[in-house]
Amino acid sequence: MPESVTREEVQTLVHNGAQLIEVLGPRQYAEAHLAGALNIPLAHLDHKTTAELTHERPVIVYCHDFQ
Amino acid sequence: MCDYVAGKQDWLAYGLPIEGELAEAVTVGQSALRDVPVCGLEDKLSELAQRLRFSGWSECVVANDAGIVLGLLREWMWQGVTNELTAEQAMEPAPITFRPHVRRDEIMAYMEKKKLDSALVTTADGKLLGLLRREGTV
Repeated sequence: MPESVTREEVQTLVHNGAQLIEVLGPRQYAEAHLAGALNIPLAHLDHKTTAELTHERPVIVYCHDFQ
Repeated sequence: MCDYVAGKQDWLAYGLPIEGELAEAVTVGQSALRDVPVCGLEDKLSELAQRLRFSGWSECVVANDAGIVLGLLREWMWQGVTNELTAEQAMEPAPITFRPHVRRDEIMAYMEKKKLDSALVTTADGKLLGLLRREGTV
């Protein structure tokens, strides 16, 4: 179960090297995404698509809002 | 793994760094006049009139100590006031506000349509960021 984090915690985690993943579709990602975020749409989130992530660093996922 | 549950809308509403098409657009957050005058609920309009007399401002935001917008005063509300009327008694409560990440051209079109001379820009939780003036208005 992922741990919920706040905006302030995201900023701190990213500052310390965390990886950001936007799980929305490519169109929404192209329009705007958090600086430095990668795009892996939720339907494609699996071991293969996350293989490029560094497992030693925290991963933060997000979508549009409280969903 | 962590879940930023408030998501992209929350991030955008605070004007934090983004990438993508919207990052290139001019937003209301970038256009907001940050030095708009602010007063408290208990401030007297007569004192405010003195304070703002030569400021050139025709609006004053009424906010609490945390900077949360409570209302808006317009110049005609404080001009010539000599009694003990307070900001709370005269203000326009719950004024229209926009989030900083919205495109400026969209909001300008809306303000033109609604004949709004100015509107406030706030964070999602109502904290004042500035005042946006419609193009062509002074």
